[in-house]
Amino acid sequence: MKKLLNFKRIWPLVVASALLILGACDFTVTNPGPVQDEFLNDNSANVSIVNGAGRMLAEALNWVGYTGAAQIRAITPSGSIGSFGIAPEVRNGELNDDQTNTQWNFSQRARSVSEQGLEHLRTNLDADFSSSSLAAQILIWAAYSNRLIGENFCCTVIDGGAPEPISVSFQRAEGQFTEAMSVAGSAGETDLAWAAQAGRASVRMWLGDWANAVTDAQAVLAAAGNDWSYDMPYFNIDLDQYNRIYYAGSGDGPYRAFTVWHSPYEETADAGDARTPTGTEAGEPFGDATVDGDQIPWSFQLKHDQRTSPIRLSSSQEMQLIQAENALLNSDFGTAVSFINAVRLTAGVPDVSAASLDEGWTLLKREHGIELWLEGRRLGAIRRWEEAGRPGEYNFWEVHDWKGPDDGSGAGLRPFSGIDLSFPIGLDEQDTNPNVNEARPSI
Amino acid sequence: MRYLKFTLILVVLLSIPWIVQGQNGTVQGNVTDARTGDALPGANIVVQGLSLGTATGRNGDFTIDNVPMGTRRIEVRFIGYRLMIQEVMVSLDETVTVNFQLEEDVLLLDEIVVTGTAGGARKREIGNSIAVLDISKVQEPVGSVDNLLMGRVAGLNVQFASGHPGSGGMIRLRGNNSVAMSNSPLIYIDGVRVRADAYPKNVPPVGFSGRSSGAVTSPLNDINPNDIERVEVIKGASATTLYGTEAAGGVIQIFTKKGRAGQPNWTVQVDQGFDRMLEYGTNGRPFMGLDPFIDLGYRQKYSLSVGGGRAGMRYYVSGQFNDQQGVLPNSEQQQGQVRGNFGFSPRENMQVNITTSFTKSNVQNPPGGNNAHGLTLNALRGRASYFGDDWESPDFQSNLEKLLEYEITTEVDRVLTGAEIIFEPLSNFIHKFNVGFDRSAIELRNIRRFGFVRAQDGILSVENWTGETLTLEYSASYDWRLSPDFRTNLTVGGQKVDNDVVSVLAYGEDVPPGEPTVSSAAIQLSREFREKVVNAGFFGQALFDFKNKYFLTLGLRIDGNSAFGEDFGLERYPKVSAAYVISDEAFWPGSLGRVKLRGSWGQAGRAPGAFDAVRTWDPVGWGGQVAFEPENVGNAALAPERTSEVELGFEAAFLQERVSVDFSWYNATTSDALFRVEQIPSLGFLNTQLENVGEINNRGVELAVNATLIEGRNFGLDIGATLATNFSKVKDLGGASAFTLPGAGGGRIELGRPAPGVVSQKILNPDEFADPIFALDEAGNRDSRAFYGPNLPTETIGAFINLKLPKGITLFARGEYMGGHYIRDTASSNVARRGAFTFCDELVIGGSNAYELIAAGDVGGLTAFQRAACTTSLARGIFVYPADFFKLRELTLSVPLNLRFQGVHNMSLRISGRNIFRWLNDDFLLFDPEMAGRRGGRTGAEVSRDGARYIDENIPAPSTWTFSLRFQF
Repeated sequence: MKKLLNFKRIWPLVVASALLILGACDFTVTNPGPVQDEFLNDNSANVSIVNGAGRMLAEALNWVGYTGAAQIRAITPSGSIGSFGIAPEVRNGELNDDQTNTQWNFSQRARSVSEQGLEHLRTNLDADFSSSSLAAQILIWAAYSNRLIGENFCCTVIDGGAPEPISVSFQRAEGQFTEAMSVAGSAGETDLAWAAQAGRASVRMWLGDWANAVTDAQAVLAAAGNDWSYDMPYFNIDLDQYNRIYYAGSGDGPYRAFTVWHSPYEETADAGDARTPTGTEAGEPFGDATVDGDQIPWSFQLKHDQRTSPIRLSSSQEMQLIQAENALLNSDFGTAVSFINAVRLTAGVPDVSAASLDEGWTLLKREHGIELWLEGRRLGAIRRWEEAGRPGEYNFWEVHDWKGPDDGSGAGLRPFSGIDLSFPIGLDEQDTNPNVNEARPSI
Repeated sequence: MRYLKFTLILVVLLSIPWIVQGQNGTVQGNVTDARTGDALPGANIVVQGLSLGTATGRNGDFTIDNVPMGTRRIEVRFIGYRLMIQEVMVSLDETVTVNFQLEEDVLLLDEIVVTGTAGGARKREIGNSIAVLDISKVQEPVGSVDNLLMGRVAGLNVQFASGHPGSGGMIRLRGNNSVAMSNSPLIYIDGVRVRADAYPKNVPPVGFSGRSSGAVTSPLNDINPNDIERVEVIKGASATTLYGTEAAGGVIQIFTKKGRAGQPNWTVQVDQGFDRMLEYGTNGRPFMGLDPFIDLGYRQKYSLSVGGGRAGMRYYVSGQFNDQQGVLPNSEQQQGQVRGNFGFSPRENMQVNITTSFTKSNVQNPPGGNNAHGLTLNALRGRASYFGDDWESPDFQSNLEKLLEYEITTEVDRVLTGAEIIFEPLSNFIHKFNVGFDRSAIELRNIRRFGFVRAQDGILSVENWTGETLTLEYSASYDWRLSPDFRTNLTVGGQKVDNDVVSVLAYGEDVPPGEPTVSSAAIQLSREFREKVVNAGFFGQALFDFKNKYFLTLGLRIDGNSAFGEDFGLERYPKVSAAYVISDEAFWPGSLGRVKLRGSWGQAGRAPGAFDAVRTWDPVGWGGQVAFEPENVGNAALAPERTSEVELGFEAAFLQERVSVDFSWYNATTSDALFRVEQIPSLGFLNTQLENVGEINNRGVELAVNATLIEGRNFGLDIGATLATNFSKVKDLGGASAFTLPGAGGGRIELGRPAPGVVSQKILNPDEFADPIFALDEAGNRDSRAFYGPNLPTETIGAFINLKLPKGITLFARGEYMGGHYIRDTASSNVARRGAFTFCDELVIGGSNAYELIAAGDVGGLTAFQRAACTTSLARGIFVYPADFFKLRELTLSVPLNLRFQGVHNMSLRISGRNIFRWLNDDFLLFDPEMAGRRGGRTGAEVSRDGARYIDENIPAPSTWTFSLRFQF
């Protein structure tokens, strides 16, 4: 034992142990990169919070708008079925919960992030909130997020709650748009104020509040004129910030996943309507892959002609069409056609006319498709018309299989009544939310 | 120029033998086999209590110089023989002779193994199964460490991911006991903790994560297998307790050659060989469209090493150059490696060992995997490819060749260095201090130049990634003999491991013609990722030895980790084990051979990731400004998962050591299992959050039987077999919902099912000549989560036969069967959904193929599976196969060459085939069951996340033939 206590012999043990004790007890590591949640309670985070809400909505609109367009045959699949492609099930008119999970998740993220951000800004800005441009902007993002869900999904879920009808989303949007109008007005943000009122017009229409919807639409037109729009921006920074609809179908990226061939807008493009521009590329006559073993002629859309092409969220033209639809609901197809022709005048295309209410509805459905093409709005509009049993016809290729034939035989008919006209609740929400049990609950 | 530095280093290192050779000794003798009288070259001779030792030469002789006067205990160890110790009296200027006749010991009970204690432990003392792989017994010329480990140890599975040079295998010890974190075992090389997870995937930082070769480079490939002396495999948590928080996946200790006192011993080895792809496709397209591109892949390897030393100093220096061509174009790995291991004794009771290695690798792979710009995907899809050319089209090959302009290169510089100081102030008191540093610096370039057929404006990305692991470890062992029958050994120590990963990525689009850099791109992006994790802990262990046959070990490790939640403190891992050499009892009849019984219980853990405990937002960009995206919900109570394991077993040798048996039963339960719990999307955070909610059980048996059937001077026959089972089950989800693992493998964690299980769409009547009947979910829709079975093998059976022929010729064959598991084939699913599935083209009845028959409604001759596979809307997810297989892992003919050259004492030629024969389950449709889809992630942080293995648009590992010439002088 005496030897054991000889310090000269055990010094390595003592020194090494001391070093290890010192080193081993320090577990504090600060890794750079992610932003910790506490930082969001600081005013310096406000801009990034608002930007985050905007980006989340842009991504959601990208996904919902693209898949929704394929679902209602606004575009024709011409290749890839993964990545930027169109799944065979969507080609068959199915919007399944496992394949549209991303659309649900992104849309819900957009809503939740903007509404969480909204509360951060209320706290951070305190009394300045009511006149803050940033506050107005995040209210706009929150409201459009709610509108996106209401227009495109079967139903909504708020913050882990039970499924609720889409009217809940529209009501939330209406409230947020209303507050945005006030805050934007105080902040002197005219464009944001118009965007808020135009957005409110669209959700009031869904809520059946036609009188106030028309009042808002008229106010926007009176203030902003006939050719105004409020756009969701896209950027050339990285893939997630691109306009997905452009990238999935352009010759610029790796995908030629869809074509305008055998879609309703092939015809309007051929007729020279600048609202549905298309193009072809020498040396690339077909889509990027075969569809059911066939090569599909590739004619790409040019409405979104760059990665940075914005997508309209609201526009003067939509305000005219709201008024047109209101007129048709009042059986005044003449007035309706005048609103439609106001839209066409702005577009520089000839007037149209209707001889009956049904023809009026046909013209509205057609004009709506052309004017709001690839803006993520058409799927919801068709659902609304179908559920209400509105008269009027759709374009041939909207309700026929792209394979044809287009010989008037009636073969290949694929009416909207036979396909899904809304996205279901995503599989992840069903898996994780104890209040949700099925994809399309009866509410 | 690229290898000039490497060559200079090699020349300097190889000149060391001339500096240190020469000296005489005072203890001499020889070592022979007690039964045969044959000399035993390479046996270790040590003077106990002193840092003096040597190894026997070719004729079994040894000499140890400068042994201090007095009574000395000379210890002889040689793998496969029992330890032998003799006392000698050393006098001044005298030479004393002592000879040893060693008895065979197939149980290796007196072999010293490393278990975390300063001085190691004898196998007889240990209550766990520890497999020791003696490289000198390996017949084949080993191409890589993965190959070395494959199929040799019961319970250790290695499965190769792809056939690209540089890609490595997936190593699992006793299956998966984590579903969220890495299941890779910890790997130590000469006491230095090294990177075990794969290097990052070579893929641009934005865009589709499959824009790569579909393969990841393995850090294990940086180790020259010819430098390895032995490998110890410590399989379960009950054995790895002293390794702490990150050791639940087991530990693999690799020991490199150290050199032995005596004349320099040079070894030169030249390997030439080729890779040959076995057919994995249909009869018409045996390589699934890659047929025009598949070729033999030539490989060559040149190795040189020298080891030697003198009293108080020893060295081992080696170098290797390896050039391997893949079976596809633009597929190559060039690699240079140097190593220097040095040991010296600055004083008589201190030994210092220094090990340093440097590896430089350049890997090039063609674009592969599920990659629209890739060769493998487009070849597989033919008329549904991104060129639209049918396989028979004259443009098919020429268009695909354009994809070979896609350049994917990975350059690895790896430095691994460590120092070990062993200090023995008393003969029974040992201190060991280790410091180790492992640094991998990698450049990954992913280039599509201007004019590339699938991205005309050009895209490139460059990633500079460095991973560093710094290990500090100290342990002290005190051996205390209280009476002639009772001894105790106490060990205390501590360990600190710092892991640092830094990744800086640059990305550019729209590049000018020629050789682009990111700076020349019109659009530029950059990314930076930094992650540091610190783990440190203390451990203590007490061994109680009674009569050298009853052993009890108690141990405890206490760990802290920077990734634990702030509310979580230190973690404690206890262990207890017992061993009983029952055959040493007087009552034990000698006819029953020697038997050791053992049992153990212990715990080890696995830490969460660096960022997992904190609620965070990702500062992504939006239009040039910062935008916050929800990232991590956070969990302040996050703790490591804890694996508790019970192991019982025995080791036995019968019939005069001709038959040996090693059996283990284990039952491991991982509690507080880290699950990546999916979050409710309507709450805004889409990423999963690690939570300690689950419980996973793994149980199984491991059996190894070896037998010498015939033993003669000119003829011998050894056989052996291993059996390993592993059945995992998710016992508790802690209230979380069942969840799907990342990746396309259909891996899912469900209560009562294996971890992971494979789920997918399922046809209930696949072989009936009827329309397919699908498994349905509760809503009556086709169930995309119908259960198939486990993703990892539940049964692994290995067998070998070693035939010894006259003139020292040996023929060795080793096979391996794995079964009980399932794998999803996403490559077939993807092409079938596009209506261009070769399988359907070749399914011809009455002159019409399956597509034509279905279009005509003439489906009577097609089974339900065939009807679904050849109908685009039904083909999704139905390609899940039972993945049972048998492969002939090794067939080696070894021929000693008795050619007489001056100084050459050992020369041999080996011809070896690897994976040259394969059997598959009848229901396995296409490809290879060992393939694995997109393993790895964009950064080092992601690579450890394991989803289920699956088949994607890639190539399997090829068979290999190697001709190896080795001579020693």
